[in-house]
Amino acid sequence: MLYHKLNSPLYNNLGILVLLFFLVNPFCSAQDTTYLKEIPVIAIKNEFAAIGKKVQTIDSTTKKLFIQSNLGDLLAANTPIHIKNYGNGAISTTSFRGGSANQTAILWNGFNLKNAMLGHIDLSLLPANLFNDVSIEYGGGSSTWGSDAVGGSVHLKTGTALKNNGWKVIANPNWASFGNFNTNLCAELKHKKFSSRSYFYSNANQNNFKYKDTLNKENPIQTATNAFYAHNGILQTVSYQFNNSNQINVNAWYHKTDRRLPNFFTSQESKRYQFDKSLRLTTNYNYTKRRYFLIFKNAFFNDKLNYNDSAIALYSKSSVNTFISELENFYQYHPKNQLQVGLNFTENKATASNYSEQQNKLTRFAMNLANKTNLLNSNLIIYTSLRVEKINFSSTPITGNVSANYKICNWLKAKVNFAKVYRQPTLNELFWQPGGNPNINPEQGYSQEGDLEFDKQFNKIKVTISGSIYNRNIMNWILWTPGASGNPSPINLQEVWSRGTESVWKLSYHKTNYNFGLTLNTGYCLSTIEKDLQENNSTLNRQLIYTPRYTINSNLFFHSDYFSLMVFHHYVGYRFTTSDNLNWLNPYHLLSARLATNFNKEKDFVNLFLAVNNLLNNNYVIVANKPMPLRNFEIGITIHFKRIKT
Amino acid sequence: MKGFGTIILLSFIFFTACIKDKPNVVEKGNITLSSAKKVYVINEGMWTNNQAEVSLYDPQTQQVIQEYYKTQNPNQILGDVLQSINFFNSNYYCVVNNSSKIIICNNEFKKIGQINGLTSPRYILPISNAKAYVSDFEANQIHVIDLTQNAKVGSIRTYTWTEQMVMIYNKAFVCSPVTNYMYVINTITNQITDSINVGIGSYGLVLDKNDKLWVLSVGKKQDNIQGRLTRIDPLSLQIENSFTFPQNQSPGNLCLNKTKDTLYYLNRGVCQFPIQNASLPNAPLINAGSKNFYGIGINPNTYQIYAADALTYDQKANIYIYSVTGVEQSTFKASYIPNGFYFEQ
Repeated sequence: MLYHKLNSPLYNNLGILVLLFFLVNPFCSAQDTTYLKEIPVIAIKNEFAAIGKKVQTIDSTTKKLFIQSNLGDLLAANTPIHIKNYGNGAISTTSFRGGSANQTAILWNGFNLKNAMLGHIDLSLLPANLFNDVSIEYGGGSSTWGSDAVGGSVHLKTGTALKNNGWKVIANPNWASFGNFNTNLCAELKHKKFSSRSYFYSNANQNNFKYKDTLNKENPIQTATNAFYAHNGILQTVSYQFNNSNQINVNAWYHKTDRRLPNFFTSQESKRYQFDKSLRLTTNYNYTKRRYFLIFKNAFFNDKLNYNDSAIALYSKSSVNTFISELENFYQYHPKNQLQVGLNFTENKATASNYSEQQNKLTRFAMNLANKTNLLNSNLIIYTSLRVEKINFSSTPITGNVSANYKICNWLKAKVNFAKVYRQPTLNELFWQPGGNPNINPEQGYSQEGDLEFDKQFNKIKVTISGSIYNRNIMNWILWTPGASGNPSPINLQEVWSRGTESVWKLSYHKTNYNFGLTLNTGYCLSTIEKDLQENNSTLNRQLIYTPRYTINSNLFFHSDYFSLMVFHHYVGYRFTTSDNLNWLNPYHLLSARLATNFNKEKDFVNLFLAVNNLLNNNYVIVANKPMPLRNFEIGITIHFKRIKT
Repeated sequence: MKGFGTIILLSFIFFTACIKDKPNVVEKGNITLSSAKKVYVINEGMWTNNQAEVSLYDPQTQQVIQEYYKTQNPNQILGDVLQSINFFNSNYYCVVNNSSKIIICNNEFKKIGQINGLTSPRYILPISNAKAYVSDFEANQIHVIDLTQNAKVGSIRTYTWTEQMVMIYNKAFVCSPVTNYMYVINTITNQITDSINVGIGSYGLVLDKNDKLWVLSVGKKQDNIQGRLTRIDPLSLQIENSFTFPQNQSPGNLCLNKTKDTLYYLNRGVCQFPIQNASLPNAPLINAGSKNFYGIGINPNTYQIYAADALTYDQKANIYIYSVTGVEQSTFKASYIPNGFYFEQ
């Protein structure tokens, strides 16, 4: 019992809690107010990149209802992005507009979070509530964000949010089915020019969920074993505004996950275990003077991933360091024109037994040049961008964007974006021994998208409708196939054509104290293999595996001063599990309900949170033979303490 | 009215999704089999997908029954990862690796029994009519099976993963790929009596017409250890000859023709090695090109070479049939990830 207590995540992190307290406490009495002008430069790059593209921001009310969820769950329920989830608590990756997991840029304050060895980040390792803002930029953006921004980009922002001097502390203990305890603590402070946000999170889940084994006629209801996982982490943000022109932000984020990997539909006991550990340090210096903005950003990331399978004596360890240094300049050289000049240096270095000392590093130097032009009384905004990149291995295409927003009238906007996009091969694809291929080329191609947005208020009824259409051709699609020596090796094997439509429908009724309505997001995506270098293959014109042609997310919502209630429906159509499209998974419907109280007082108050997932108790899988939980529950409270000078 | 028009336009985008989502189920046509000796293609299936199956090929009519196990055993699946099939005692023993079992079928391929209690079985070797050994990927032991009860009755501790096995002179020779050695087991006492250094990565072994043992070791590329083909006298346990493959080659899938005088293996294609040769061939008999050869077999009835192209592993494979001189003669589709063949004799 004592052992259990000592090993509980809460106990383990008591030290961190104490540290947090002392970090916040010296400033708790601060009540002075300063009137420094907020420096807006961080958002400029995102605003530029968003021109011509559909952008979806997850609103704070919705985010509050996913307080216990990871980023994958949040995106799956609210966007047409298909989240490939290998099971409750297991790895989650994206399929964005028919792209692969490596063709989505997941950006934290503008820094790509991917593990440079794998080329993507596991979304199950990112707590949704950690981020102040979550927004999705649809469409190609390689010239702005570099490699991976092919299908789209997910922007995660953290920072200090308090506008006035004072402090607030929010504690969220949550309990859920399967022995799941999740807690997070957020302490924010603003004192004169200094701001701080400390966010601590801890989640331990026995994950002994029930699922249906349809092949087992005698005992169809089975319990997952060896599925325990625990996430722990802390994110500290400190911001200091020297004056109206200068500001510096420092972020330090440490994350650790211990995860056992279960077996399903077999009597074989799993002895697999995965350990992920990340340290992320960033600095961000902003300078603004009249028509000139500067952002100088630096980052150091260390990602460790250990995979053990004691049954076969496999003990794999890997570590990758990433250094990023970026300088962005924005200059309004003409009342209607703004110039952007950016320089980026990125280095990834891997340490693993499967890498040689000579070939374990990727060094990139990039420059991008962009211009934003406002025409027709700012009703037409045109953005052009060019990116040139020099890399120590393999060639890199010159990429660019031409995009435009056009405000047709107050309630109708049109957007178009033409982009050249690319994905740089990962460290594993280049250097993994055996098999890595240093001569491999980046995946690259062209994307085009158009978006029409209708937004109009009819008395108390607000109608928002948008329709998007996109097209993308990617050449040099990388797949691992046997190399000359017989070991699997990545080669540029295929060409893939992705195209589709998306629509957003939102109808809401607004009164002073409440509003209610309906939101519907639809996605239709064809992503087919157009060329394959292997002879006599059966993949031509076939849909990519695990890429649904149809997705629908809808929700009914009711928000009042007292509570918010949302009922979510999520539909995912057929997904092929083999590239000849002869095997598939059936569609699934998921219904869930989430309720949170909305009390808000000047000082201290408590809110309650409840959720029921998989209300219909559907038996479903997202990935073949990786069962998902049947009906399950979440409950939690949010305790607020705040002293903010108004 | 303008707003209404826009809504109509946006609705059009919403309803442009015009492809029927439900995939078409491919109808199985009638297949006529001749009385010719059949070829059983061993399809592993994609790992964890419970896709293990057997494709039955009739060389005379060139027709294939894709899901032969399911055809003969309606509403049943073979399991996950069919590693090997052996035929003895008039039964087929299907070793289903990731389902931890061996399914026993009669000569019509109808299930008549199952051996459980295994961990990650790879190959089954009959020792007598009543006893068999089963090698294992994870268990660090050879399972001893009582064939009269179809049950595990004992084990031989190996401390490591074991692969293919052959028996001669009351000795079972067992490959152990993660070590430099292969084990020698006394099949009467079920005791390991010796080991032979054949190099790291030994997966396959065969007995030639002179009762000599040939062992193929893949080596370990990360440590610059080259692969080896070793000839051993199973009586004296002495290494009689050893051939080293060039750096960066990874040979595998050793098999033998009917007259047991020519070895075949995969190494950038299908390689042919007459046992009297003094050196390894410089080039494959059949170049792989863009093919992903994952399994081979030599039809003892025709001497034809069967090579399985697993393509990208996630689509149905192509089986190529070549003459003994390496000329492509025909091709057919099998199921997912075929790793070998069983030929009726």
